[in-house]
Amino acid sequence: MKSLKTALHIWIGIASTLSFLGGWVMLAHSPKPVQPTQAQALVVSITPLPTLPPIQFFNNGFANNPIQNSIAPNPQPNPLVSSGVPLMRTRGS
Amino acid sequence: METFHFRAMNTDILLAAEGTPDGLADGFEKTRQLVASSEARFSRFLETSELSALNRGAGKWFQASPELFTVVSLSQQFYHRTRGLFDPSVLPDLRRVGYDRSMDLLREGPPAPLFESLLVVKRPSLIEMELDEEDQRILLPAGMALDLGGIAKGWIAEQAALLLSSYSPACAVDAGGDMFLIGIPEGEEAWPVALEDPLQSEAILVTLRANPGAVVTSSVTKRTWKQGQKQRHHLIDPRKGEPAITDWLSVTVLAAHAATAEVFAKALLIAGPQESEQVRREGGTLFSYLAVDRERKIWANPDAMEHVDVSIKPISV
Repeated sequence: MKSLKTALHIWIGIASTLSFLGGWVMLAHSPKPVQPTQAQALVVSITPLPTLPPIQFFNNGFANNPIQNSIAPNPQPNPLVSSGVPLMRTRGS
Repeated sequence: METFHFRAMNTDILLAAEGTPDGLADGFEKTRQLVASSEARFSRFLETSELSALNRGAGKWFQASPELFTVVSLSQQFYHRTRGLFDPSVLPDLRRVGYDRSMDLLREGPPAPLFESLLVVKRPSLIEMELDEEDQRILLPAGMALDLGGIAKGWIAEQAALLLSSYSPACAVDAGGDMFLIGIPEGEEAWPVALEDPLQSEAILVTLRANPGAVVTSSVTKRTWKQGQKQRHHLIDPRKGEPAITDWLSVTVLAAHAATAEVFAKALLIAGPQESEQVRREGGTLFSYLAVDRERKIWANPDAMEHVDVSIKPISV
């Protein structure tokens, strides 16, 4: 059991060392990142972003003409219309 | 027009009907009784309700009443027609995010603990529910529990209005904003229905001219509570098991039946502006809808435009 544990330790040690060295070699041979010059950076920063098209809410183009709430809210808890029909309120549940 | 108010289903109920007080007294009382008995059947907050018994019996066949079987069967149909956006089996998720008691109690008590929301439990899909139409039996798979709150409320409003219509040719039942209208009031061309501002309950955005049928609004601003420091609402997105994040605050649907209006108001609100037209087209039924966004702009499909009264009638208090 003890020899098995020792062998496991040695195997983990060798595998770790080889992996580390392999990674080192890979990074050493990979292309270096290009540092942008000041002029390049300026060009990038002033490139205009493309304009996104408006969201098409409904296929018939109704999205371009929503009913705006231009009517002043009518703060009356339970009003009645003139004919006596109660103005019921739909409010969500 | 005579009116009758009472409280049931954790909301204010308004009955309105043309007729004389004496002629309508019996109709109002019988309608109230129907609503009360239906609440006792469909409430998930009452241990004695038939729905609670169905949920407790998950895993074995349950002999249902015709009323419960009808609403559960409708729920299953709408689940398919909304591609799962309407799903009554989200009850475990509703409980997990804190809606484990009636809204009145939830608002009175301390905030629900936030840690419960982390205990995600995979729930069975509604597809696994089985219905035996011949014997009116329901088999919920083990672990499933149904919340029929919205669809049952709409269905009850419609049944109540149908009962009241035997006493009056023009009548309406308004169950906390979910309403069913029968006939047209004398001297009117339609029923005036005010669309409430979802951000300011005492304000009205526009008045709708509603034909006989259902008008139902679903909103994310009404049934809200705190879970820890998180603000929650009751509209669960079944795809995520969490309260829906939506660009719209409320959706109002006008349809021939209240269950249809209730289901699609909820589904459209979850779907939001990007998917709403697809949901309507694939819904397999005709309805109109209006949505209110976070800037209080109202969006509507063309059919719904016919119902919008932008020049509000003069009203007298």
